[in-house]
Amino acid sequence: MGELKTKLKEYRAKYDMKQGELAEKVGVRRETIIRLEKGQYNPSLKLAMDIAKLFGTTVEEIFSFDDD
Amino acid sequence: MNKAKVMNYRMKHVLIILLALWAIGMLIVARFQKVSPGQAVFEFLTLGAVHIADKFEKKDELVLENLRKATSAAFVVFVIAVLAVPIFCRIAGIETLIAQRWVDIPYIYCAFGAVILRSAVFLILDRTPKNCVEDE
Repeated sequence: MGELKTKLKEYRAKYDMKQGELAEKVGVRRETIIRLEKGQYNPSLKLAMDIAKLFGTTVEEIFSFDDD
Repeated sequence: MNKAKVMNYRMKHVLIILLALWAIGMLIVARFQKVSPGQAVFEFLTLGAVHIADKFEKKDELVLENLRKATSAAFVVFVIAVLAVPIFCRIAGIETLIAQRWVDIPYIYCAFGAVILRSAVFLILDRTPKNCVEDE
């Protein structure tokens, strides 16, 4: 499996949302959001979908795998 | 919900480590002073209270994953400490002072040790990366 790439930070900036706010909205801790943004944690499908739904986009748009 | 009262989940495990160390200390003192280890029983209850206290953040999926890894690691070390080492010492007939003392270690110390190890491994796995940019 390739490396996890996320556009979470860009979407957060676009929606002017802090890590803590995003964490609270999707029901996780801020540490989890930090790990996600750094690509150090593979989220569950539910969490990925919750985040995508919050930003009004698709899971594939925010999360992808670098298969190089 | 009062946000000011919610503490970081990592603090819970720091507290557990401190309480378990305190409990081991009390057990050692009780052993050498030949007094009742009632204080240590109190510590058990305190540890239980920490677990049910609703003052900490809720567990999320990353916490659950890290706790699973930490529990596995602590369990393996606990089994090695409590079963494998004493069995090996007896089979091998190691009669050195160290081996004899190891075999004589009460399981309660190993249990508290496992609690400490589990929380310590969790804290290591759950630490925030140093080079991450935090916006708060």
